Amino acid sequence: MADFISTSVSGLSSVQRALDVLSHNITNAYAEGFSRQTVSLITRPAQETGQGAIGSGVRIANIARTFDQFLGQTLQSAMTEQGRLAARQDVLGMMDDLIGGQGGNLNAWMTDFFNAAHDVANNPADLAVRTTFLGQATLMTQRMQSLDRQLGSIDQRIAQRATQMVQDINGMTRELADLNARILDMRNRFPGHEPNDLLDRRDLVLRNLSSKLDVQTYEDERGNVQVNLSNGLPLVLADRNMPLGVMVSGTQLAITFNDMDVTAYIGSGELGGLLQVKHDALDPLRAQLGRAAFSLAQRINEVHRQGEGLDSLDGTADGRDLFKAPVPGGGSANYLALHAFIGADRVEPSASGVTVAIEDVTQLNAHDFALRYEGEAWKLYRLGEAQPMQTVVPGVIDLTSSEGIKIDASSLPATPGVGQPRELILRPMGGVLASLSLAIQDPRQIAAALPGGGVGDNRNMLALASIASAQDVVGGVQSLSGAFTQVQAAFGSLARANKVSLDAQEIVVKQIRDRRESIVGVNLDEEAAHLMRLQNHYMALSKSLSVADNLFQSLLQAAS
Amino acid sequence: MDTRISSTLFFQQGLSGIRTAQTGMARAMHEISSGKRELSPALDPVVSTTITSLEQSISRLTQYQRNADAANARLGQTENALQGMTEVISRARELAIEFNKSTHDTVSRGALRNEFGQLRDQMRALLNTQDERGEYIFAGSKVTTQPYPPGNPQTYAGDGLALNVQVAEGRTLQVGQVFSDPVNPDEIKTFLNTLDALATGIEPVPDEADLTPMLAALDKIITLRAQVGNAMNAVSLARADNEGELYGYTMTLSALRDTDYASAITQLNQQALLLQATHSTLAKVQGLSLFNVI
Repeated sequence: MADFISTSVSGLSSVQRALDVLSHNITNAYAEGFSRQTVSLITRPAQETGQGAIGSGVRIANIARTFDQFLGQTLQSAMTEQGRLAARQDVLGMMDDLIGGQGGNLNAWMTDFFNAAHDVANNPADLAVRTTFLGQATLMTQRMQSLDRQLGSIDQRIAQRATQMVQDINGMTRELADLNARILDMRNRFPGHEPNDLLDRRDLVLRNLSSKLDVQTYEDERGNVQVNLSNGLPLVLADRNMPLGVMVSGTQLAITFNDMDVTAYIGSGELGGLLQVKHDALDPLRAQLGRAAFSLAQRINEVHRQGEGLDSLDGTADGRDLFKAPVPGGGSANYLALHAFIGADRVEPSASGVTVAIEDVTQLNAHDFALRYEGEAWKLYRLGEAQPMQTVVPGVIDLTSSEGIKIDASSLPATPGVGQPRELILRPMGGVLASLSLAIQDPRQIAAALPGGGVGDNRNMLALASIASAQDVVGGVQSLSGAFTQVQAAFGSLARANKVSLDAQEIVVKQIRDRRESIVGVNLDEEAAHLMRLQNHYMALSKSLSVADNLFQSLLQAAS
Repeated sequence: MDTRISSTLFFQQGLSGIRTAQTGMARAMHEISSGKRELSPALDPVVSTTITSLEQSISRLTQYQRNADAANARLGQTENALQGMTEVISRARELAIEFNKSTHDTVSRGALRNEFGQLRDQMRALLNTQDERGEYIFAGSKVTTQPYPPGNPQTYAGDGLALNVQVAEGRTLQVGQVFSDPVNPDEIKTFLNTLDALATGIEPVPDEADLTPMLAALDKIITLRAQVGNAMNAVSLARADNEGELYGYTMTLSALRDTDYASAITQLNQQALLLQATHSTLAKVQGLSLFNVI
């Protein structure tokens, strides 16, 4: 009889635990990262009596969370790719507003400028018309400056987001290290009992981390999760985490690990996407727009110098520029954005002494360059290319025929010493949009006439206005508007492709998430059904107990 | 076995349905209210760059139309002046024929000389015609210098640079006219000198008017008028060409950029219907629970 009671009690206490787990499931039905938990019961060992083996009830074998290792990992890598595409999309969206809207329509501004030139050609002696022309030219340069400021603020926003993201990543790796320690501790203290909620939490943090950057994760033999960068450098090792750092210098952005530049190893996730979109969309766009603006100023100046202004109709060309722009071969360091890195330290551009001179505007490409000291030698790279263009020795590097420029690297030390830069970033067209301005202020100085003409001579102005449709202005092979629409089209294709990939990736992530959710998620109706079942079970056990009690009482009465 | 569906999933699906429908509605509403399709390089690179190019072509063509207007105005002023000159020269010829008649004596010739003087001044005034800005239209590029100052022999203070205006892509037209050369003698200067001699009667005193300079000047002016007429035709032609191109570009631009109302409104209705359906589905599904019956 005592066995009857103890058997029933074992059932009651198992059902109570099952109800606890069930209410935990119901409570966490909408909690992020929670996995449904199930109770498995096991029959208690039978007792051998003379009449046979009689069961002694039930006990809880374990409380397990439902999870799917494979789906978890698939979801992680899908989220990494989604993070990359989403971060790119965010930046591309901002650029799209700019390039597709009036804030970046270089073509419209140039057309307004050339239209004003036609007005001067129609009335070359009219000072009011000339003043309007100078006004339009100023407006064009101001619009370019404003565009550059807006591109610059996108650049800053990328740097800010990357900084914030690295902080988030460091927070997550810290939490993972902490979770590793707590999970190990729980397992040591309660062998055979899984700390389900901590494991859920660790999975969730890993998934969030995976959406930020591409990491390799695996579990060691003691159940710690180890997280490595793609090159194998550990971010989380058992109960320790190694933080990443961010270094921003001008237009250059780098991620560091123990003062080492690891930017190249972050290829995906939101952080990878940010670094990538800066590199393959924003920086090139700035360089290309800069080149278009530079080519415009250059060609206009060439024509303008041939003419005469109203203030000096002396039969000889005035040789005056309309725009302040570097003279080919003259070279100007103002058009450089130089940045240097030595480990984690930043070196001011002026400290390097390296300058770039524009030699041949028709050969000008919109490339950015890097000078890197590697393997005991300086090497010149086009930014974004893996192979160096050439090995260089300190001196003048002549790239006139291929890039239209000369780099004066005479000041470069043959071997950089301690504290001297080992990498220099050169952006020859980087500052053009921001720095283009007018060289003349007096409307009479507009050189509408050619030498020998009078105040009504418009020959030079017609020549100037015809630059609008000249086919050899940019890079020697493109019209100004052709160059701009090409920039716009190239950007559009890039952004469109990204959007299409992102849409597809979002569906992939959703499908995996749904599939995973269908295994690990809580279904309230299902829990309700279990609740009814457990309730019935509990009532049945209570009944058994009460019967046992009755029997016991009858026995007692019979005995008395 | 049927797939399990978690409560979170159920809820998320309903929510994302609502979000999608709302985004679609907002887009359709924006297109309807702004009259413009939602476009950007990222949404459609080809259409966007086409629009950029079309807008630029339209702006440029509009400028050519302005240039053509300026050319027309200048040609109109020139034509008026040439018309006046033709009348002056014709009258001078008639007067010369009258002057040469044997019936005139010194006194009556004097009256005729007076009129020759008036014609000379009229001719000079026409050659010194100024436009609305006060610029001399027959001075070549020296528009602020009076090209035909009084004097005998007549001089020319302008130059040979007539004004050119670009009226269409690749079409530049001469709209200014130049009669004289600063150094060499020409029909107009000779004509003015002849009139001056007839008016003043000073050495060499012509007792007989020479008709040759008058005929030569008339020929010159007629030739120029024909040139101006040609130029006016060319401007009209360019205007018509530009107009045709502008029309084509504007239509294409409108087709690319403007909202297709029929499809936008259909879209709005569809999205509204979808949203309504999602709302009631979500409400219904969320209301269904086994807990209700326990």
